[in-house]
Amino acid sequence: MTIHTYTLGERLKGVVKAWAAVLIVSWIGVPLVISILYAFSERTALYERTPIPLSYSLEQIRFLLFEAGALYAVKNSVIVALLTVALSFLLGLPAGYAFAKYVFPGRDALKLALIGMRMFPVMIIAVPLVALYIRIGLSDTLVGVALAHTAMALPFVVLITSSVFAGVPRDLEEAGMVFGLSPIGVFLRITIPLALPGLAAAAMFTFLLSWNEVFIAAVLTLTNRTLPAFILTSALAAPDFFKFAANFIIVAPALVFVFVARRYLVTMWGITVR
Amino acid sequence: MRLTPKHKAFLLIAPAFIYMGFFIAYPLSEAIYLSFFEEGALSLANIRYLVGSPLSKFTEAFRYTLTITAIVIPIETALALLIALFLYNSFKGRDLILYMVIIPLTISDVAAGLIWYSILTSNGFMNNLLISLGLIDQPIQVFGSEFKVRMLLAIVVTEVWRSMAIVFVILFAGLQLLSRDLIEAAEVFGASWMQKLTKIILPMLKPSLQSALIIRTLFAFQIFGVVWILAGRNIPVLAGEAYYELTELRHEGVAALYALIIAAISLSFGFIYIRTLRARHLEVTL
Amino acid sequence: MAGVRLEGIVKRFGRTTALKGINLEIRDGEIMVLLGPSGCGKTTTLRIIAGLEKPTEGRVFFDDREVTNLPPKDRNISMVFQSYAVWPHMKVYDNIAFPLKIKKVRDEEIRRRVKWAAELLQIEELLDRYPHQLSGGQRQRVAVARAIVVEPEVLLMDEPLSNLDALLRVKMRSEIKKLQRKVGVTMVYVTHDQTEAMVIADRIAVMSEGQIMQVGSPQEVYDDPANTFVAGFIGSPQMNLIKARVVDGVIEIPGYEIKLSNQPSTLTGGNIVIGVRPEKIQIGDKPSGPHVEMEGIIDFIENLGADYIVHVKVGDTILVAKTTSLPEHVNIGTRTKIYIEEKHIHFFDSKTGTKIKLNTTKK
Repeated sequence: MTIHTYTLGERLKGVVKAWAAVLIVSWIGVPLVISILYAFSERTALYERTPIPLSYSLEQIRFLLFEAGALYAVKNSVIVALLTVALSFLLGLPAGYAFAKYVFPGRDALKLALIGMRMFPVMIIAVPLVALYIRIGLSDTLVGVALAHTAMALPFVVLITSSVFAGVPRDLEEAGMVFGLSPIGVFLRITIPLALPGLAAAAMFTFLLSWNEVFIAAVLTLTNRTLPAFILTSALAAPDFFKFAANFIIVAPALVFVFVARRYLVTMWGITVR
Repeated sequence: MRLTPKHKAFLLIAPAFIYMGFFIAYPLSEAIYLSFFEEGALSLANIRYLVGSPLSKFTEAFRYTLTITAIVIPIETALALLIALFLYNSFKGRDLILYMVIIPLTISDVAAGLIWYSILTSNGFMNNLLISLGLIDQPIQVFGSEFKVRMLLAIVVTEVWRSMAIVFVILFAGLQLLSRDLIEAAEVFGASWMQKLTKIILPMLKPSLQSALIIRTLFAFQIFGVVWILAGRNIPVLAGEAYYELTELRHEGVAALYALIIAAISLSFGFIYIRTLRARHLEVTL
Repeated sequence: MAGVRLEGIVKRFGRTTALKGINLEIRDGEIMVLLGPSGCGKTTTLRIIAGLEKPTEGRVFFDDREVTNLPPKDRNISMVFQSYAVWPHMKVYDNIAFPLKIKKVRDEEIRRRVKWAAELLQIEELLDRYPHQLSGGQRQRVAVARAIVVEPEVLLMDEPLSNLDALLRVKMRSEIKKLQRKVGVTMVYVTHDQTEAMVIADRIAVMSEGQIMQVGSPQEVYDDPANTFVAGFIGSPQMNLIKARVVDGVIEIPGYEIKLSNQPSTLTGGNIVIGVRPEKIQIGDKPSGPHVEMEGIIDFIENLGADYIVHVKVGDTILVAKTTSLPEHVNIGTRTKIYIEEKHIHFFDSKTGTKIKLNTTKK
């Protein structure tokens, strides 16, 4: 019996593959990790010309949050993002459910319309709202930003929740009906619990959409800046350590999301970009 | 009266569509009014400002937006395709690479700009590394109004880093949908690696490639945060000019005109996209 | 054309071992069917012959040429996939022509060969269509045409009929056999359907859990199964396999004792399994040769129209019999006599399941 040995070609292929893997991971990972290390660097260590800072402190983050006013911006961002999640789910969840579970005339056309609306640029939502918000007193308010963010996030919410609901097998719901649940009972006791993890991931995704959005927020606020708007408007004139620290504060929730919802990542973006 | 399922469905989707309808119809009509009317009368003042005023950087912005799009998209599409092909077969550690590649999807444009700023700035990682290795004495300057080409390069690198993931996800999903048999059949009938790629995989991946290209082009014309963080108005782009005209110069009409131009470009690409999507819809399952 | 030889093929996927040492000789020009339940390793074996998988251990030969490390394209094989794998972006003509184009055959020769293959499978009028305009059966024909157009040394078929409806499946299995006779190619055919295997095969290799249980002609594996697995897998309804004990020349099954007229000398005593095919159990008619006679109660009757499947309770054991006619007034609950010719009784070792060879001692 001969044991299969690896030929030279195969070994070479293995080496090339391993290097490709390293290259891909570093291309994404190195800038990310390095930039986070810089955020936690001792301020003096930034000028010592070592590739990676040699001493670390929370000083830069502390300064940015408590002295430069970023904490206020973080608080605003969280409020706007939570309002956006609440509002877009209130409006979008029923629609997502309808798309998943009902057949009705115009369903496909409406779904295509949703995909089309997703491509509506935020610039054209934001610019005309400035004047409107001044007229109705929403200018420079968090609610105003959240309303615009909801308009931006809503198509995503409908598309994602519809696919989450569609993923709940019809059989399980019908079994619920056969064994005596009312339609509302089926929804509350079978559909929702089964859809919950997916819906939670969708909510986090929506939170991030709002958290990351900068154009609308920068245009519609003046004193009540969200975090990206705050950084965008002050970054140009700010010193480097300010930017390094700011980077980490914006990125952190995204990394938490990647970690918590990694199982849903590919499918979720599969839906939003399709 | 009892509700039929049809009525129920419409009741369920109505709130979302009414909301979106308002946030599309109102801004669109208002933007048209702001752009082309002044005190109730038709006026071309904003267009004249856009192309004629010394304050306006419209032509430059248009050129830069186009240039960035034209450089970024081919590079990231090629990279995304290579990585998607690399990850097609499962192997140990594939999932880790997969997560890694799509992390930038969750990172905002502002943050992506800041990340690459920390790498490329004069006391950032790149210069520190090169100096400590003794390869250079003086840091390489990337940012500042006299280094337009370098800033453009920094923007390109950042955009590729940030948005390649979108292309990747589309291509990867498309590739996963291709049945393995279809590719193995080519192997069995004697195709080489290159023939497999050009005669079987790429033609079958065409719908996904199409989607990826259209969607990316559409969003490339909306580029804003990355550019504003890295270069400010040294590299003007359409969305950046809209922002500047609105917040700094208070030219609401001009900003609205910029927004309309971006929307027109986006929506025409969106229209093409929906048409290809619809065409594919009709073509039963392959 | 070529014969195929597998020598000590082992295939591991991570921790699971899919093939545990396969030795198989496939003769030039024959149809070898790999038959077994899902997960038995038959498809893996086929893919190793194709070169789509590499064996962990062992070697593959086409005639005397070792191909173990050759990629599929250098093996001169062809394959029909379970999903057909007809490329959706190519017209039928281009699908069939693909293997020839890759081999850089001249255009007119390609046209001639595609026409030949299309005629053979009666799909000439489909050449200009795209796969999504075809039915499942038509796609299957395209896949077969594509597979024979290159005149491969070995033609591999991976459950090619399993996606067709029952009627078409029956029609196609004889067509495939006729086609192979016409083209004369060596063929390895994978299926889990034992009827299909019986119809198509020159020889069958019955597989289970990564091993070959028996190789032989359809008649051989039917008449003389090497072990209880083959005995149970081939034939429908399944062969009756009954636990028994041999004590002093008497075979005891639960609640009943059987006495053989000719006691084989190899049946010395202890636990065995006896096997009887349902169609060899006779109800009512007494056979002329040496036979066993038993008495039981009819437990259940399945009327299949052409024949009957009769469950007879003998002692504590249910025997299933298949017969074309039933004696009158036989009904559920009726007490009846059944007869089995002794030459139709198989004996297996109860531990290993292997057949006990009988050197019947004539008295």
